[in-house]
Amino acid sequence: MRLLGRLPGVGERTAQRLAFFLLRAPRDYVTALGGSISELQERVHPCARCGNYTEEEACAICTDERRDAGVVCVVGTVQDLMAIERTGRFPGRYHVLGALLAPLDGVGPEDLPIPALLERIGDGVREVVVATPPTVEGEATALYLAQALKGSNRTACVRVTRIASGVQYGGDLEYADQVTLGRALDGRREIE
Amino acid sequence: MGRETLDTRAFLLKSTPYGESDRILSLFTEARGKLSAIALGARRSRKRFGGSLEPFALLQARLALRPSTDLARLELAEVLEPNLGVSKQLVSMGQAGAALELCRELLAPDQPEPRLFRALESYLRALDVRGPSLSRMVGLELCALEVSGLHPRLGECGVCGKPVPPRRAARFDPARGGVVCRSDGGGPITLSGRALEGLRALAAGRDAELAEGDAKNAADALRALTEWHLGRQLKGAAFLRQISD
Ligand SMILES: [Zn+2]
Ligand SMILES: [Zn+2]
Repeated sequence: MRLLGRLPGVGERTAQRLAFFLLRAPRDYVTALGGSISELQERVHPCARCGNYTEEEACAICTDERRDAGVVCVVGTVQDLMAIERTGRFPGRYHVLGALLAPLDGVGPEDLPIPALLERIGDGVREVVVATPPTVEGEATALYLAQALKGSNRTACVRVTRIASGVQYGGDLEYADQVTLGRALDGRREIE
Repeated sequence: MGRETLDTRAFLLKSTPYGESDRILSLFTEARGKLSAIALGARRSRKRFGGSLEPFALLQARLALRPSTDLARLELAEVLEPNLGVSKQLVSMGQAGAALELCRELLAPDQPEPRLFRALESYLRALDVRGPSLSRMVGLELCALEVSGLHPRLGECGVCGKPVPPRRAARFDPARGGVVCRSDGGGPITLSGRALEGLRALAAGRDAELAEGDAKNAADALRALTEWHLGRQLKGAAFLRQISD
């Protein structure tokens, strides 16, 4: 119960309910669940190309031939990637940074996987859509990416756009509703 | 249950996610100086605090102070001046971040520092309207060092007290709190004559605009002094260096 209570969103009462449920559940189910949980970290890892979670070497989005490899959407987290996928409005591929620039916490460009992104953008990418949240950290990251892409010969011609802020300032993409996020994606503008 | 409500203007110095839905904030309040506060529901509900928990904005905050704990509770936060222009340039963000970090590190909790508060207010407003300036950053850093009793000695040698000749370069030793003459061993940093003069003018409360190179020289000396006192590196300085590379 103590372990269950450490899961996000699970308080003491919920942990107790889950524990009683598991005690009465069929043996096969409990074994399968335990197996899945213990395999999770071994089997699931970041996609070598974009950083999305996958059990293969490259994720389902990177290997899907129907998706437009010429447009890459840069997001802070896999949760944000999933939020954009739920809108069904983005036909391209992704790049997950895993963190954002944080001027107040001293997280600088050296702490983000930006060289890997620049490496990837060189061949055949027409547009980079920066979909970081409308926060100071998200803005800082977008400005830096635009600067870095324009400053490199290989990527200078790539169009760099930023999603429009239908998403409230200070908000999380993960919690934005699908319509708002979809419209923010449609209304993206070029970063000067 | 002696609960006290405090209405004050404030700047956000740091915001850390706490649990699933809350944030722990470090605030620089005008009335009580640096305070810690919890913003319940700030991570999920945007109705409550809106965009007011983003850095750089001047806020009007209502805090519930509780005698049993040092952690106040943020009840309301309204943006008085958003200073959105700060987030339009990376260098502005870096300089603002460095200033807020300095306040966070140097201020003692629950001790009002109205002079530094006003200096920070006009510093962020200038960043918003006029863009980045290393010279103004140096001015704010001097003010922060001064209110925390760490102002550097700039007029005379920190060891023998001999006056430093004007308009001449001098050696600066963070460990000895300021300029040190050659016969007392000098120091690891050389301050140019103009940088030293600019620092002295700013320290005396006069308006001084340092040229970029001199401001950089002065900023490096102040950073070294602060880091020596804190015993560790400032993150804001590292961020500024990385974005200008
Ligand atoms: Zn992938
Ligand atoms: Zn001396």
